[in-house]
Amino acid sequence: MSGFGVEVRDLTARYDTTVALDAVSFTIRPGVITGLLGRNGSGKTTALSVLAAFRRATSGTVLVDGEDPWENERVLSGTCLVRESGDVALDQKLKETLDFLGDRRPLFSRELADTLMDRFELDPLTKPNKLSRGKRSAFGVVVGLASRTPLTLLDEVHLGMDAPSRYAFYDALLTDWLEHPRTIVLSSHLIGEVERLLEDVVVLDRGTVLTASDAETLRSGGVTVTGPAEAVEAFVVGRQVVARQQLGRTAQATLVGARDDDASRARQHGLELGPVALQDLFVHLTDRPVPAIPEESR
Amino acid sequence: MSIDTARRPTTSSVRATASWLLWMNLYLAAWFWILAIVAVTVGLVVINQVGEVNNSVLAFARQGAVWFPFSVLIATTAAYLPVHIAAGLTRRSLALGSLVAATGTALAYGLVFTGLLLVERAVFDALGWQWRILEDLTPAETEPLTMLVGTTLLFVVAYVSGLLVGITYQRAGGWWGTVSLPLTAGPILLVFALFAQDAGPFSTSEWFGGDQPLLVASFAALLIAGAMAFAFDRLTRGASVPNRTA
Repeated sequence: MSGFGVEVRDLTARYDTTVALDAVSFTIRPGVITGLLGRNGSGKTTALSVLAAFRRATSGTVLVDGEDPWENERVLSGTCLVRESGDVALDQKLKETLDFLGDRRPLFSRELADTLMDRFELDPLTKPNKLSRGKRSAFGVVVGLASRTPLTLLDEVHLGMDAPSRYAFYDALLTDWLEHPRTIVLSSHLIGEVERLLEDVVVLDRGTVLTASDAETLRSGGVTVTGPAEAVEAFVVGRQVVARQQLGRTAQATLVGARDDDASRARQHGLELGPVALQDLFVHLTDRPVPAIPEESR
Repeated sequence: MSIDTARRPTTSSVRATASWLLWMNLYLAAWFWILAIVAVTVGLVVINQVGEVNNSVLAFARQGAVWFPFSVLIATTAAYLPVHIAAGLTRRSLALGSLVAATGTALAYGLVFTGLLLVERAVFDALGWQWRILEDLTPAETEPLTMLVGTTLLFVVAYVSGLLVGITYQRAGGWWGTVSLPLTAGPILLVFALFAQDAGPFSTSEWFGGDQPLLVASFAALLIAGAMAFAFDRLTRGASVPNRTA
């Protein structure tokens, strides 16, 4: 296996009186791209910060490659957390930051960094504080991928990037991971875009783990049904529908909880079954009742 | 090809940190002294035109040489912590590297300041001007070695204090960072007094019979610097990386 594995047991992290993580436990397999998903404030950034020793846990155990990462020179040199705004010197040229990292990161690839700088149209002589948010995010991607650390943690690094840049990022990530397998944890709101990259998924919600499994197992917990609208409606009676789409007379419904006889029933009704989108499952898993707006305040 | 999970940084992270921070401070020091030389030269020309030159003008730059790098190190401590940790380095290497850089910077400022004082004194002698230092809290002796040792140790305490003030604000926030200033920045004033000839009970010129005031003051300054360095090291090793907004 290549890359660092991660074991998190009963991890609690508090900010004063706010509990960001409440006794969470999960495992990240080495050499796998794992998606860390959750709504705003679910504890994703805090969890990644503890893994990268950016902050201490209040209680619980975190083992990265079998060791506590806090002040652990070997583990820290092999761990790279890129947060949404980047943690680089704002008054240094991008080229100088790459030189800086090249001297400190044992596996840093300047060749890959230069290739990505070209791909994202980043001027090496610019300083980060002169970049747009999207370009700054792109530079975070350059840093995260070119560091080639055994544990790479990418926390919402796509924010502000336009669609072509985001897809260039996904392609670069996958290509480099295939050539240099390592553990990558990707936190993102754009689940529909990144789900093809993910082998494992950890879903956090309000500081707890909702589910942690491989993406296929998670997807198999649901099914999409596509076909004539009336037939789809008949098929889903009594089932939990988490998403619906309709185009003309064709409808698609996303169901949670697959049944053994789904395939035969679908054939009988002339319907097609398909895999469920992680995005729909995620919305379902993290859905909360919206409080009603009082009549007098409308 | 797989990732080698056992590799460590190829160079000492303390050395890399110290040299990076030292070069940054020396770059700023070069600008500081260039501006100081220009200001002193202009000052001497103006004084000579309107009156009589009988005091060192450069000596007043000692205050600037204390407080400018002190301020820079406060800002550096706050700004560099996330960059350092995000580069996969330990807080231990940050603390030690910062202390080495602060000491090296103090030595550089002390050497340049003393050297420029000697140059200024030679210029005064050549032009027939009287050279003396007219600043409160200056050492009794203006011999080069005394000036070098006293000034360099003052700078060491001031720059370590800058690191300590920075990490205290980082760890404890604005309120406690400000409340603790007498402890974190106060020692600079104490060391000014230790080396001064007329600073009441704080002046070491009267301590232990007044035989070795430089030695006593130097020892006391080193103790103070050591205590502050220890506090900085402890605070740095427990520091969290703050969230930074885009």
